[in-house]
Amino acid sequence: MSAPLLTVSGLKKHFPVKGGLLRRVTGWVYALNGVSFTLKEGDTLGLVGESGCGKSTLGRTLMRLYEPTEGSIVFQGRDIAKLSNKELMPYRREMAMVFQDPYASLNPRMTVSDVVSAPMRAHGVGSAQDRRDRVAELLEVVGLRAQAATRYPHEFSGGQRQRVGIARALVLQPKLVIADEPVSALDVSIRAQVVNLMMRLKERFRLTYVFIAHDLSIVEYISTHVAVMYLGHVMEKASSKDLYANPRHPYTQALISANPVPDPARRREKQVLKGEIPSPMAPPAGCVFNTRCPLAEERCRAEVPVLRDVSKGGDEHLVACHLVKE
Amino acid sequence: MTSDAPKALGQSLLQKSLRKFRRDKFGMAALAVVAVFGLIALGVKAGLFCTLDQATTPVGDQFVKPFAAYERRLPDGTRAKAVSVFGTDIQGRDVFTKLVYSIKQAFAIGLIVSVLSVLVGVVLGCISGYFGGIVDDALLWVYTAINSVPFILWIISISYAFGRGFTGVVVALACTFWVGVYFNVRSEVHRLKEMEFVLASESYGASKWSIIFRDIVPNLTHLIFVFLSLDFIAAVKNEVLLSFLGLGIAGEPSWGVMIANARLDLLAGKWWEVTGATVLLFILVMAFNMLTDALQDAFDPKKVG
Repeated sequence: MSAPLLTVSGLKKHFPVKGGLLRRVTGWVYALNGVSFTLKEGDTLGLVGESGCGKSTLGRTLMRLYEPTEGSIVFQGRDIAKLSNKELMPYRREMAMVFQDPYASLNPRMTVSDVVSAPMRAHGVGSAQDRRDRVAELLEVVGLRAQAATRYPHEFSGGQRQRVGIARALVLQPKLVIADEPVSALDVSIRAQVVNLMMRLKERFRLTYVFIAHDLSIVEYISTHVAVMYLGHVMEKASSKDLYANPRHPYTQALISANPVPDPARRREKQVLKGEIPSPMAPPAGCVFNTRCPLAEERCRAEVPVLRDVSKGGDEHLVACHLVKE
Repeated sequence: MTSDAPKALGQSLLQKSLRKFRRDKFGMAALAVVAVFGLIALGVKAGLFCTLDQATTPVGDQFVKPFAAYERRLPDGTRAKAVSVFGTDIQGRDVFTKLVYSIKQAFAIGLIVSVLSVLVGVVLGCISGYFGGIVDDALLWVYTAINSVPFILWIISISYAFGRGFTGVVVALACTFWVGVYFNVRSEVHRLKEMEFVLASESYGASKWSIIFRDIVPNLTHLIFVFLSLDFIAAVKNEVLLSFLGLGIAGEPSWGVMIANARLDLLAGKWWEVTGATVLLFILVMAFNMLTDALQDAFDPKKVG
């Protein structure tokens, strides 16, 4: 078995909240609280969770758009969590990001050609002609016509713009692509096209994905592994098949039961979660899910559960819950 | 986003804005008026219409009425019968010549002040908004300090410190006007900085300068145009105010100086000098206001369809 492409351990990101006249730090937003996972080359890790659970923060911290507060991000054998911007440059070629909002992720003042070739310019790759050729090649790969190169983002639909964003992510031939809710801003009719495109590209260019989404069905479709996040913690992580067939964490069970199934004959017992996600500025003690968990006990309010493997052989199935038996 | 109307392909936002602006009839009319004033100003600067000498030398008796026959003093000392255009002032200088010469003054002050204040405001706004930190805190403090005193007091005290004259007026106005540009640019940069296309640039390792010049500044075009126009108007108006208070331009005619000097003549029924200056000022400011509105409509990216 090959070494993992990405190993994240104990990753924390806390944002200071400043207030008052002198803008002193008055509190912290605990966005990531010790996230750990590994990702093998060629896998797709789906990250799911409700809004505000830290999944976008995780994506951005992995890309080093945010400085990690603590923990390590080992990418291709080197911890990139503490590297300076200059030291990061070679790694920035190997990882790329696809953003959520195709209307905000392309500079409205640049042509598609400039947008797609910008990473090449930043890394000083190729001559002007090379860049043009590469743009033409990539536009074809993502299913846009070559004429698109001289147009501006506002001349395209949301789906087309997202294809431009994907072309930009691929221009430096990265190994790892972090997709931050790449289809949630698109029309439902367009989502499948873009997801299928991403799956084809993964095969063709041997990519590894971190796919962030809140739509469970899309994650099930595209991912080989899924991690469920809640208030900056990974609650459960397993292979996609295992997780959907046999969710072990009460939170995962509730999420999956809330996901509509397009089959009117099938009725499932729905577990409706009570209450709201607690504020990430004041997360509950013990298991962060204890305030909404139907099964919470005394122990859950006192002791933080750690991720442990509950699989009976085979692929690992990690759960952070005191009550799940092996 | 997709409209059925056929549109030119490969059109940048700037080209689209220009097209939209060209279709705006009021905007184009306003631009035409401004252009006429501008051409006259250029002509005066080039010495085509009148010189400072002509604007300050008496040509006849004092207070000749507009459109009245009078004896005009010629440069060689002889006199000739002539019809006045807009009368003469208390010293017998030609009011029309003074009015035309003042157009150059207004444009010089408007252009220099607006370009200076927009330049300073945009540069500092970008630095403050993009880099944040101590520099931002310091600049914001300067902004707050300048903003907590009425602008007119700043303008008066700075121009007083510099002494009467053109430079004093320009420095006083530019020193106070940049803060408005700065604050707006700063908050727009704050907004743009969080946009995903800037994060995208950071994600592939674009340099800070590349982000500022390729991602941020091009997206400030609408603010730059609007502030150039707004600050031009404000400078022209404030020059009049300063001159009226006796702190403005000295030794040369300007609308402000004319209004200040001729206000007492008004009581004696000599209305033409004050009226001429006021009307020209009004037309120019009005046209510029309409132009600002049209620019705002055409260049705001949220309104470009």
